[in-house]
Amino acid sequence: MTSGGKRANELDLVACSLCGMVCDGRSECETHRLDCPRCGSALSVRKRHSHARSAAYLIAALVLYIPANVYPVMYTKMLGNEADSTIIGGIVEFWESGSWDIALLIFLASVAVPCTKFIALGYLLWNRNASEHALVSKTRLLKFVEGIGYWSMLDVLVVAIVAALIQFQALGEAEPRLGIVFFGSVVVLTMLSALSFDGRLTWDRKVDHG
Amino acid sequence: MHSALIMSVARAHPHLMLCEHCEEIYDRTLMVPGASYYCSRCGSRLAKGSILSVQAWLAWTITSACLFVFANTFPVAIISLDGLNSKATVLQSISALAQGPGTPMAIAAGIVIIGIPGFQIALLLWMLSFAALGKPCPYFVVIMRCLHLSRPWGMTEVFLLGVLVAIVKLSSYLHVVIGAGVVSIALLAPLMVVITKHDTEELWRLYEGPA
Repeated sequence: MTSGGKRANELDLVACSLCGMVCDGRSECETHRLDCPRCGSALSVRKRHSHARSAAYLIAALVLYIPANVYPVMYTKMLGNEADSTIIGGIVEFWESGSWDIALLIFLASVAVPCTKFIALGYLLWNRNASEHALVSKTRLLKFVEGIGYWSMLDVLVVAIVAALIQFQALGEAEPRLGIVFFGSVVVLTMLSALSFDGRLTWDRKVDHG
Repeated sequence: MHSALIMSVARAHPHLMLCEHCEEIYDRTLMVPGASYYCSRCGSRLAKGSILSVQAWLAWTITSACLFVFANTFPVAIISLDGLNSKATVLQSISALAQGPGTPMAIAAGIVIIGIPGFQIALLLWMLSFAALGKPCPYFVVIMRCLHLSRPWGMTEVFLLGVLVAIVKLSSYLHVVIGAGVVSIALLAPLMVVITKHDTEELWRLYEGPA
């Protein structure tokens, strides 16, 4: 199945980022514009400024995660009870009302997933261990981070749906609050960070350092 | 000299493929179609394997389109209080939310739960209808690029979970019953994964032509 276990850089090959066609001219496309013969996209070896962009999105997300947790995400007024709830407050409320399963679900989506992404992406960006074993686990970690990322959107959608459903009810009122805008931005920024991260750069270190 | 003017087309090797994570080179001609392969170096999945024929893919896309319409037009929740019933569909709820101070939320939620899945289904319907007849559709590359870029942003699965959590949350104050819309979303969520994450190599070969 393999062609002698070679990597693309050894044979001057590059794959089109859109259609996957393998083409000659890896070294050339850094300096000239070289088009994919199948789909006409410009060929490039790596995502541009991958680590810098990924790190920038990650840091922005980390900063916004603070107001996302401090500001309330939703205002509710039901059966005379007025309340501004934060993300953590919402989890505690579910926990205390006995719905520990829902509390756990929201905890996973709103706290565990974003924190895992911060730690995992930080590790991928700044850890320089290039042993074969470390590279294989880093590749798995990146795929895992890409896979779990969008589940954090859960809380944003819950707030939107609760607020939307309650619009029809005379006795209840629910409005999204500032915190959810911050939280939504955190989710989008961490997703952008993972998408800008080019996993192939991790493998380049292996080649560079022998 | 303007280096941008020197444009050229690279020589292609249609029988090769690269592992997208570590760029190990593999020979497609040695791979059995439909089987899945893993990179011997980094363990990533190489080819997803065409689990569906183009016709079956189109059929599932049509099914998804129907379910998408049902998911947006059937009520997701029936809220009753003191004998008064109100039924809410996704579309109604989102547009009601957009009237008030929740406009940015309504736009964001609308994009990930209605806009992107609807857009993906429409593009796939157009492209696969032509592909089923053995022709590449007009604007093929633009459509492939749109599908490629929108792939991470469709969130039907998360939406399903969100509706269920929202209903549980409201049921502590009001009497809430799950509507037929939720059933449609539950069926649509796995189908969206199948139709949007399917391997596109076969379509690219069709686009390339028999040459």
